[in-house]
Amino acid sequence: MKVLVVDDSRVMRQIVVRTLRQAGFDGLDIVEATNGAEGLDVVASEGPDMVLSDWNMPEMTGIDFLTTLRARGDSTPFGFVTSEGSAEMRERAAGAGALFLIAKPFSADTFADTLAPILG
Amino acid sequence: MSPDSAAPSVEADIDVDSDVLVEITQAVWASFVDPEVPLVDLGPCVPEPAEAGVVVGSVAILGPVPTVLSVRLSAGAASDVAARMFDIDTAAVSSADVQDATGEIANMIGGNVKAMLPEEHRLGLPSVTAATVGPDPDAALASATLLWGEHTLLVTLDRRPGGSSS
Repeated sequence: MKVLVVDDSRVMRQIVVRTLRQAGFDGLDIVEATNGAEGLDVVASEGPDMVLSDWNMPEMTGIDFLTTLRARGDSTPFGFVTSEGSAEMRERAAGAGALFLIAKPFSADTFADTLAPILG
Repeated sequence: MSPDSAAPSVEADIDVDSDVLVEITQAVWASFVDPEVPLVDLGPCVPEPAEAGVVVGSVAILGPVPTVLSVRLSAGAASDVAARMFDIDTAAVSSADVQDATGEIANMIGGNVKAMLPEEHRLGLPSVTAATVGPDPDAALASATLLWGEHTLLVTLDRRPGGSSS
């Protein structure tokens, strides 16, 4: 399984990858991008099985990234990992086609419970 | 009811106090910085003059009640934080690592504060600077001083300078 991790913070990308491992998802092929625009390119070139994206990023936000993907007919499973977990943002995420929104700070248990249906 | 409580105020729209800042910061710390040494709440911040080598991570919360969430800590503490978050030795920490880690700490605390505000607010991008002035007690809506081992951490939610909403 290939997972695209999108975040403008290098340390947060590293923490997300580490947490995937701690949650028991070993052997994943990880690709990374630093914003939504770069994420679009990586989706096109790498064809990931799932996207984990921050929301608030320079160049292109996570929600614009998701909206653009869906407008292109791309249905790659997509979830947010973001510091903003309000009910309004969860509604916006779901409305745009996100499968979930994991709020920071998060735990390996949260990753395991949320991602098991997708990463098995 | 206090004499001031009948008048509309910025504080009336912000349901975030020092206890909330402490709770959010402790949760972020336990998850991503140090699960073994908890942050100890020392109470609201005591303003001090800016010290050399103090790092400030900030994120603006934009909207009807614009504020700035800031985290102030010594350069040594910021390096230790970055080392823990990157899972590397402190000696290997670069200034870029400190900028990234300190900014992300401010971003996570700010994002959780924003989630408690009315819906119209949005989060800016984090920035990290060297402190040139000490905390402004007149600007603080809420503040907290936290002890992490030998390091002190100041977390403040301030009115945004100029009060602009964007």
